Amino acid sequence: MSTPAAAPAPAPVAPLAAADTADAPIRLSGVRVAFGDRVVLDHLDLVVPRGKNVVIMGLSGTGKSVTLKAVAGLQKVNAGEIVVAGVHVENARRAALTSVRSKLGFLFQSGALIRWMTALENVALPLVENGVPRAEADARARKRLDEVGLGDSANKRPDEMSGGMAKRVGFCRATIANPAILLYDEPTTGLDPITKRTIDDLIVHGRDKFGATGVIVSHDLRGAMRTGDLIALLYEGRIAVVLPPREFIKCDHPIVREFVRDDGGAAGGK
Amino acid sequence: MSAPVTPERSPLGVFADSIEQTGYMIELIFGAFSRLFTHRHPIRLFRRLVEQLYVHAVKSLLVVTVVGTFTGMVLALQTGAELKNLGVEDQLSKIVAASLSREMGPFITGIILAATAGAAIAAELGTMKVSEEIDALELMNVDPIAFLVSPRIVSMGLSCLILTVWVNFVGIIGAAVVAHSQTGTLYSDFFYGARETLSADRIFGVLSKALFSGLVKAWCFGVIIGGLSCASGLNASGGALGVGRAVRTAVTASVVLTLIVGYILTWFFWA
Repeated sequence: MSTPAAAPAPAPVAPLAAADTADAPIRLSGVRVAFGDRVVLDHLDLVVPRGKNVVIMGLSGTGKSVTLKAVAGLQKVNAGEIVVAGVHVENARRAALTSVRSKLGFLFQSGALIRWMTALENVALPLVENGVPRAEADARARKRLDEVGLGDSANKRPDEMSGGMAKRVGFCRATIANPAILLYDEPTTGLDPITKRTIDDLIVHGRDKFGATGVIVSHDLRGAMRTGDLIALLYEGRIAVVLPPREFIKCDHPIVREFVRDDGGAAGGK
Repeated sequence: MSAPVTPERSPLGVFADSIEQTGYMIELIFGAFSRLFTHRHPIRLFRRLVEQLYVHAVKSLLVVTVVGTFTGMVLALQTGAELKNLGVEDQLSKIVAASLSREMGPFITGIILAATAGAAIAAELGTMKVSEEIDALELMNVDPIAFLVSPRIVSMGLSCLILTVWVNFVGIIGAAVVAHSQTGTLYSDFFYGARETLSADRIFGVLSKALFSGLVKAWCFGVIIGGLSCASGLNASGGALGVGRAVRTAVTASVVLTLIVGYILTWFFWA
């Protein structure tokens, strides 16, 4: 996909009613992140309403994953505010970050499973390390693995798993403590269409079953249509468009048009 | 001409990096030992420590045994010939025992551990860092220092201590074999001389100064190598290349710092 030469329409669209944003668990305002001279995020504003999935799309290298890591307190910001579950994470001390992270689940692009542990041990890890007795943690982890169809693979280590399996195990680990907020970093990148759909179903499941608020970073327009309640376009360091999926694909922003053209219009049918 | 693998750094930049790395290593070492007293699950920490001891000490035993034995043999061969010319070959056992226990035992063990266990730690933690496993731990509210660093640093200190005792032992045996074959020294005379050296000038009425200073050195070397290896691994960035760089930094810095700290401790005990 080539970057269009024409400047994008400077029209951030925020179709959120005041009631949606009043108790939003994630708010970013005026966020700026720079690596040396390279400014990645510049005056980024985003509100994620409670119980909704917001998909952040954009070209490679535009700062989507940086945004997600900033929300999780893994990326320092140069300016701006990030409020997650009522805590300012941009300058939070360790205790405050611990409190926020106890409400967070994060699915990494690679799964980020601990390589010497089995699937069961990986899923049980957040519970065991935070004081849940081993037997109870194992039982809950086994149940969660069964739910995603990996009950038979509980004793496999990450190097014995396919990419899709690792993502599903990562999903189980991210949701094992029933977090209020779920963050997904390119959850379907590099997967076949069937496994992509499985992961998308899990993301929807995360919202519907746990009532979790989700932020999904993705390049996959079709997946975004399936999983998102809102789709945001990150362009030139800031959110250029936020719209419900049906309206997003009709948006005349040149980058959105590129995404839709690249998808062959199939996203319209989900 | 092929492109350089890593960009050229100015000597000042390399020096600044070394200072930063050393500071981070000290922070990690303090953090690792403080976790021994504040860990929420001491039994789990102890289990991880035993696992790491197996990896660092038991898996290095063969190479340490071979190198230690041959070090003692070479020492006896070189020194024995000169002592024989001077007609004082009966002093060989004392010289070998003192050299091994004071200096060579801890140094050799440290260098071997830096090249094997230290490199492995840097590679393991570096890979975890670049594949976001460390970030994942932090997001699960799992303290990476208690979970990963503490067992590795404590185990490296203990491993270096235990393996140094073993290197001293096999080195003296190797030296005794060479002394017997080269100068006809009786085994009993050789071991008596070595024991005399290793039991003289006792500190706290327990260990000889030679043995005590050597063991203090060994523990310090192990902790420093463990700390540097963890610091290099946790600072890794940039994929596989970054992991390779972390391993090289860990081994190079460990060898250099082992020599410098070895000199300082020798000065402290013997100057």
